[in-house]
Amino acid sequence: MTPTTTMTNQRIIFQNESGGVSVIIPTGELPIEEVAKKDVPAGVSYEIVSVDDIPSDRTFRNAWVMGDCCVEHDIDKCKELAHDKRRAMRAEEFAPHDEVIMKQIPGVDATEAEAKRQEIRDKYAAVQDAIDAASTVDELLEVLD
Amino acid sequence: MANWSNPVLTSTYTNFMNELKDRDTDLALQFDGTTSSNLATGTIRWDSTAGRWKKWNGSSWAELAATYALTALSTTGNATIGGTLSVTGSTALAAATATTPATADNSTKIATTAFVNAQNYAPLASPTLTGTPAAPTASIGTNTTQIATTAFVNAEIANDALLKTGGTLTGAITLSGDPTADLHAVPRQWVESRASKESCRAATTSNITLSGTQTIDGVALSIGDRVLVNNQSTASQNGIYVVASGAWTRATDGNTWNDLVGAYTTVEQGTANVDSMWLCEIVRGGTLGTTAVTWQLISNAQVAALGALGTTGLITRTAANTVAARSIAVSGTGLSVTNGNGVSGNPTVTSNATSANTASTIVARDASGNFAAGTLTLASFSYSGTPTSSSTGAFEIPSGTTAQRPTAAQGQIRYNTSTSQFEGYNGSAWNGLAGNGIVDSQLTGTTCKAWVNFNGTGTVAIRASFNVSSITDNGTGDYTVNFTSALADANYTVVNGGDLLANAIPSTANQAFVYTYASNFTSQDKGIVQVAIFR
Repeated sequence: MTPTTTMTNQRIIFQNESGGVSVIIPTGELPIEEVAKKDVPAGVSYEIVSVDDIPSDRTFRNAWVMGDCCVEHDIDKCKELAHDKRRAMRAEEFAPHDEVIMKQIPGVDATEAEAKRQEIRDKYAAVQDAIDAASTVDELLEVLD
Repeated sequence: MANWSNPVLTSTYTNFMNELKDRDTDLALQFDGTTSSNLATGTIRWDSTAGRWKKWNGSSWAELAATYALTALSTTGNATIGGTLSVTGSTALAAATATTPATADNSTKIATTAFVNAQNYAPLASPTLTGTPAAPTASIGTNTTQIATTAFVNAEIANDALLKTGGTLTGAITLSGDPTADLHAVPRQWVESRASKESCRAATTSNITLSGTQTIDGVALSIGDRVLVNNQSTASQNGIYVVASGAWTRATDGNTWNDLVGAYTTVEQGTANVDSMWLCEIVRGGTLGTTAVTWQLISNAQVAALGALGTTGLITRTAANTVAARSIAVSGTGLSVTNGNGVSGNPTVTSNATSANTASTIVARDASGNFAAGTLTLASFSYSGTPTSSSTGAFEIPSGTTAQRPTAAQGQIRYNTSTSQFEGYNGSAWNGLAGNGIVDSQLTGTTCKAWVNFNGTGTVAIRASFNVSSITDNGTGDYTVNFTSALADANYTVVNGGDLLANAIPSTANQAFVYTYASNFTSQDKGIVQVAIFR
């Protein structure tokens, strides 16, 4: 058997069990119709689309849903994912200051650390508001940038 | 000169006589008008100069009359009339003669009858004109006895005439009779008497009584309908009839024997004969009403539908005037014709095999059309026994790429040029001939059964693969690897590489799951994901 390197620009999309979108990327070993018949879960409807119809930005990959003609974003799920990222980013920035406060390291000013933490809170409070106010994916991406 | 008012008588007598002599002299001179002395009033004289009688009125000479009537005039010499010569009364110049001028004379001379005759004028009755006679051109539309000049004729032609070089008639023309030469124009009656007949509403399917309204071939006929009658027990009655409340009559375009020779007509309606065309088969020389008339169906809806039966296949006659598509199949007892569309009346196929044919030998037709033992080449065939071969050669089985696989059916085997291996279809998937996917001699229990390398970021794309039909992108860091040929079972090992923090686990014999993570073990897409399957 010869390894396959010829890829196709077509994709097969279908709604998965979690309500999101699964995208099948054929290798080219089989005709795409046969791939769809074999690799799409039985009984699930699917569409064969161009690769150009699939978003190339995967920031909110888990918020993809099946639209009328192509893959679309569920904006509410996008916001949930954006908040998850906001929390992760905030926790990462909190970490060095949390360590100062929790360990009460002698010679280190805990007051300054607390002030830094407050700055971080304020910063991400603004980010939180911006996420809640966003109405498009592009706006969310700009907020997280 | 004598003084007649106061004569001198006292002189001498001589003077008196002289006076008388003067008086006579004056009287004599009065005729030439040289004197008027000593003339008595009322004296008359002839004025030769004026040509008139004049009367002395005491002071001048006055004409006695403007004209003078003559009861007869005769001259012995030349007579000249200075004024107008009027001839009145009932007696004209009955026998006046004059000198005849030359024929070419063109003067004021009197033209005698001889002169006139010599001019050779055309007579009013039936003249024979020579040269180029001309006449006034009548206006277009003139319809009198006026002479039509060439200009008039041309104008009329240009205005409303049909040229022999062509044109369009605006009214109907009537021909004198049927044509007698090939290029003669033909009247409608002649055309109607020829082959093409006006269509009939229905055609008979059995013998009928040729009278009254009735239903034929499912068509309820009305008075005046045309009917093609072709099934009479007395065949001489066949022909085209017009329905009547009483006895039917033959149609006017088919009421003579020659009307029907070579005639053809169409039938508009009917259960069996709708949209059919019929040709009368009779030849010249028969007698209508005595000689049999037959009509032959040359086209009907079934024939017209032949084109809809497809470009290939066997067309058979399944009933009267009915054809249908059929197929020939080989059964245990030989060839048989199958009933493809449920129409009854299958034809019979008879084999021409004889006892002289060699048993168990394929007979093939060569390029010359001769039959002899040969090689059987079929697009497909089926058999019920077990094929055997005593040859030392090899069977060549179908081969092709993965994309060229036929519609799968359990038990099919072929050589896959894409995978370079023999493969078979087990009813659910194409596998290596061993039945567990990969049986190539290089694929042993320690050989990778499938692998894939793909980019899980951005637009997910596969770089290369082996025995992988596709990967399914289920979400962030969540993929499924689908095998082209299923493994024997799910008891295989999955090894992942590339970016670390990935986990690949078997799912089924057909697919394995792959998950990629960030350092905090939350799902994360990876640029390089490598998965290999071993069993």
